[in-house]
Amino acid sequence: MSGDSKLPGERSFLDGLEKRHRRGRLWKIFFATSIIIALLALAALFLNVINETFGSIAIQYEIDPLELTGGRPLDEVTDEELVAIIHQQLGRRFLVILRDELSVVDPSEFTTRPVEDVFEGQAYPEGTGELLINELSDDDVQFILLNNVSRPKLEALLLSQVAKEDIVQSWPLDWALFRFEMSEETRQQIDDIQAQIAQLSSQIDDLDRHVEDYDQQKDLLEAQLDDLERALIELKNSSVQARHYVDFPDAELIRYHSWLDSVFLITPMSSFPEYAGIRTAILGTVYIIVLVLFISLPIGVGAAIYLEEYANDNWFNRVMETNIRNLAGVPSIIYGILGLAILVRVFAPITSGALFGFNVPQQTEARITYNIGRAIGYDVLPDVGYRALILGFEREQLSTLEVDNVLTALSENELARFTANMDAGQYAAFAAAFLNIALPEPDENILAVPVENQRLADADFRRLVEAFFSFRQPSLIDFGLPSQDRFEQAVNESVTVTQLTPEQYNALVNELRQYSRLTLNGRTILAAALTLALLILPIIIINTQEAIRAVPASYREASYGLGATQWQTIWRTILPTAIPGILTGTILAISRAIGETAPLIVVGASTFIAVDPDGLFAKFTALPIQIWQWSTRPQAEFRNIAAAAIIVLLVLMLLLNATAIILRNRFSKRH
Amino acid sequence: MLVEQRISHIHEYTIGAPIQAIKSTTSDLRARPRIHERLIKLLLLLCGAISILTTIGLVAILGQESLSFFTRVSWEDSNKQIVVDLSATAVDNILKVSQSGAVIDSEVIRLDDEELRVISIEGDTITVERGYNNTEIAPHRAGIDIYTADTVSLIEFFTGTEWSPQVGKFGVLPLVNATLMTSFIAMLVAIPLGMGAAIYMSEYARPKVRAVIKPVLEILAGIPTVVFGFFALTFMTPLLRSIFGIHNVEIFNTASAGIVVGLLITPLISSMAEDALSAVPQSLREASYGLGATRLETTIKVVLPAATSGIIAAFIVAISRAIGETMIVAIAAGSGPNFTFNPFAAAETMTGHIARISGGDLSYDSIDYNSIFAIGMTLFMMTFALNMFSRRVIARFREQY
Amino acid sequence: MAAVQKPLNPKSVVTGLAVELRNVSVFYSDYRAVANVSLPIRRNKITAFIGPSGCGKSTVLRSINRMNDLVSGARVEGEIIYNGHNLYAPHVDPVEVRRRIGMVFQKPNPFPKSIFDNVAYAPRLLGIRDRNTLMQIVERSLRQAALWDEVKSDLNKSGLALSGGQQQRLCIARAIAVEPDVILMDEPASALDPIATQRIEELMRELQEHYTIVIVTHNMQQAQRVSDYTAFFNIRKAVQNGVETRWGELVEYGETAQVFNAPRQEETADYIAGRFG
Repeated sequence: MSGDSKLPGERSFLDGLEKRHRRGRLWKIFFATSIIIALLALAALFLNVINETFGSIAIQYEIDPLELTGGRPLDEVTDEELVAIIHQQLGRRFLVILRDELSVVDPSEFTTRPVEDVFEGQAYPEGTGELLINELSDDDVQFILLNNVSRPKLEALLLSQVAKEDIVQSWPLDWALFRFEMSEETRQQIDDIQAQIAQLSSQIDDLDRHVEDYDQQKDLLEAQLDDLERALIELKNSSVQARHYVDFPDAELIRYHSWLDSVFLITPMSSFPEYAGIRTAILGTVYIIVLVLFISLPIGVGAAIYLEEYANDNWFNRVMETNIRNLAGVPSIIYGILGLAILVRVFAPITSGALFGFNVPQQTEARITYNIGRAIGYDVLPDVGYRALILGFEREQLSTLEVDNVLTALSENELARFTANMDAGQYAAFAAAFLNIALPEPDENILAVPVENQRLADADFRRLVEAFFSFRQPSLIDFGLPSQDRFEQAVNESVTVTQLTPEQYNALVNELRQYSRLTLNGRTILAAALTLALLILPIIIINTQEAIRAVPASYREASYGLGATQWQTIWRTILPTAIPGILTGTILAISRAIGETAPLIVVGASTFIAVDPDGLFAKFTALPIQIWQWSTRPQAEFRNIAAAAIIVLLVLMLLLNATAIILRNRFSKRH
Repeated sequence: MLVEQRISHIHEYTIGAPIQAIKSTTSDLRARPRIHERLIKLLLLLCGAISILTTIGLVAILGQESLSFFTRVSWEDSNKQIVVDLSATAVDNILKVSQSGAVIDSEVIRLDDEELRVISIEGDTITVERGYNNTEIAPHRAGIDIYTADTVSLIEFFTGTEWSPQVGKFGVLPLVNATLMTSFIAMLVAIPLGMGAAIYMSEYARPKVRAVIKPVLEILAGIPTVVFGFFALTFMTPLLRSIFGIHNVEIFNTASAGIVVGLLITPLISSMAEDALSAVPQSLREASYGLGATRLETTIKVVLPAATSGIIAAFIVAISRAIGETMIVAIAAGSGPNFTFNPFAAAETMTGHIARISGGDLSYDSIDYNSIFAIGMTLFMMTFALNMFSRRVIARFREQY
Repeated sequence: MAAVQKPLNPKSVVTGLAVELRNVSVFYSDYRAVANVSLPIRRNKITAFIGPSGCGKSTVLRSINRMNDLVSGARVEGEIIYNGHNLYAPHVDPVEVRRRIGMVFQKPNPFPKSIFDNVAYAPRLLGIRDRNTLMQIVERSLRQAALWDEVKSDLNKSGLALSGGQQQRLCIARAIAVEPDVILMDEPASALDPIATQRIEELMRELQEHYTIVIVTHNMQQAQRVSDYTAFFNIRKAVQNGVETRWGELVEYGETAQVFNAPRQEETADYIAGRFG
């Protein structure tokens, strides 16, 4: 038999075997390496986040705190003195602190509600309860801050609002741990180089003053200077201390700074990383998730029960089943688009809450009146004034610090020119804009402004305004569209249309369009939650179907055998048995929803909100949105707080998953 | 508690209720209409139907808004004027154009507020139909500009290499190209890693090791993509820049985003592929070992071929995931359409573009708003086709054993 | 791979024994499945393992070509001597063992590949790439397995498309393609109909000329018909600390005629007479 064998001989078989084993070992190493790389990536991801969250910072003050306290260290200053210093330095903006830190009412009502409402549950001077905030004396407002805010908070207010502390540089944790100290040698070198640089620079300056003959020498020196500067950069990048020593010698250096602390968790947003917190983002996320749960759990479980228990095998049910599987694979951003087009736009009256009487315009009537006047050329404030006003009103979403931005956005000249042209009413509107103090009614002064090119009688103008206001409450008939026809009709009735030129009329209608769009803002928590609910519905359905399928058929038979109806069987037998599976699946789906970012962006999460969400119809932001926002900013400090927010997000998801495991174990013990 | 409930329920019927009452009714076996049971069924059906409504809504909204994207007319000044006055009568339908050999490449033109349909062009003479699209026929003075209608054609959309809405360029290719680049790079990373991990877990790892590794990989899969985006920007990009040179690699680049998308979909591939590998019957492995094959030979020559369709399905699902992935590319790939094949250059993907332009307060009647849907439709079609395909492959795979 | 000092060349050893089991026990983790089996497997003979299910006959069979290595926690004590080597000595490579001691399984398990690729699988592992050589090997193996005439026209058909009996013969052809020394068959006909079973039995007789065959069967008539030697295994029970443990043991080994006609052990006689099991 071996005579005609085509197989390799003994020797070559053994050699070949050796080769085959070698190849096997190599590939095994490759396979194992893939896993190790995946695990390393995971580790790198976590370490990277931690590295950015904790690390060194250098803090600089615009005004030296010692200067403010008259040279005394901060802890020797009494609370009363602190408050007085803050008040004295901030002036009118002191009220802003009270509003942002202590007021319990809507910011727009801060000045229109009595003190006892505004500071409900907090201390205020006796006998001032029924007064408005503007009627309080300086001592009274100081009293309120003094008695409701802790000492550390007072100090923080002083440092942040008055001394304007600024983190000029931050370093990640690995620098704080391993590259913090600067050696004496480095310091020597730096001093040396800096001295040389100074000398060379002055030489070059000297040469500059002389004639061109010296050009060659100057080139030489400049080359030397370049070398030195390069050396200096290298040195200062060698350690935290070196950089601090060279670039920020006056800044206070803190080796271990955690960007993630309790203040970070409970502070609302800010455009300055060192004061920014994620309070609004966490609240937004919590609101959305709870809502998503309430929407998607019953519907998802219901759909799964239908598919598993009721649906017989016909084309409709097969389509439904396939459809659900396919929906699970649709990219999340497509859901965002769906949410934008249908929930935010078409269902705007519902999702904005306008249909239920919520979110009727937050703009003050003064502004609306002003806008109408402007639209028809009734009032001619300079453009710059309008800009300021717009910026000012949008400030409802901005923190106090943003106001500074707005003010600096207008040059002082512009501001002066603008306010100089104002009458009392305009000024009131402007002031209201910046302090967000609503004027109760359209200001008589504004309506009475005598302007040259006024074409309407004041009475007509007023009727026009009233017609406009009558459309404040969108109704179901308005569904998604500004009811232009009805408006036209109303205008026709109230104003002799011939009095308006076509331009004025068009401008007015345009104003209304804009107004409706502003009013019907469907970019709310409700819209976001509905979008995410649609997104995770397929996941919940599929998971629940599996949980139901896992219930032994014998349970079902036993229940039917006892004479139970189908629903009784489902409700009393199948669901209780399937609950652990359903819960686990749902929680996993929810934890997916928590991290979803893209749909929220498209649906219109606000990127900057400093006010806590106050219900279904509030504008919102969420943790992943903040992470996204901060990640893409150029300053390193934003990366730090993005990392801190990531830790919060991951911990939240971890808690959810842990809950899933605990619930599952609990329920499975019972069965 | 649930057990107790059930017991108390039984009590109601056996002990609590008088047996006699039950007996008297049980002799009547006619079916009773159980209205509430039917209502419940209907209610549950509605729950299921929401998924169908979602799909219908998706397709309708994408279709409708894409349609308005493609039919939206923007008027462009052709810089040509009419040289003879036109009266307000429909018979006055000959236009004399300022420059000879006038090239009017659109079917509809506009003079003031009136639209006119072009019937023929001869030299500097254009014959038109007045009052097109129900516009009012009005007199026009000599010297006014002719506006030509510009719509986005499907051909321009799918073949144009520039996307800049400000100047009316709507070629989706730069976006598609960036999406394909990041997805390709992602697959380049994820296929070897995911397959290696899957093979290791399915064929090599002891059960205890597998019990540890699997959940850890699942953690990787469960991390929000925005965190991956942060990782791409703050870790992967600096890493690439330090390897390939800071001048060669831009801060935003498709390579970094692609690699991190690859890490994101690695667990997806590894877990789906591992399922496929584990589903290969043990008897095939035994047959191979029984013939003197090594573990590697058994894996490569028997197990992998037998699991091919499951593995291909895993790849397809992963590609579709990579194409639809948004946050990583929105953060790390760049924010500006760029038709480039350089992986180290910034380029905006379809998803990244949608996220960026819808991020602000998008006004509903802008071309940007409509373009979201045209891009979204393209994206939806791509992923939908891939998902359908993968489900087919999986179904065939199930039949095999 | 640990180096093999002497090649396991069957032709170099002139002994009547192909394999010899000396005091073999098989463990799964701490559980002893089979205890103290000593047994000769004679060259170019058919040895049948019989016994009730759970008696460990398959376990012993699978330990002969080290298939038990694939079960995690499995462990073999004692010696299995093949051509003067202990197969469980540390330097022995199980891959090499399985190339020389082939196996056919209870359920036909052709690869989801063509008939040709199934048979050429093992030769290809050995590095044979040449299509003609492979063709010759495939034809010879299929002829030996008595399948050639049925499949020669469509070798590219999937192995899974064959009938159960054909599939099993394909598996046999696949096993003999690398000319192993010993073929282990684990109830090769149990999943087949009587006619297919008969073909397999005839085939075994034909293969006996070239190969040593060990077959596990629960069908005593089959053992009687095809085997030259028979080993009878049975289940032992013991109660220790109130816990019952079971394991398999070799009861009797001898020429088939003797075991069936004049069993030395009463247990064997009982089993053969169908009095238990």
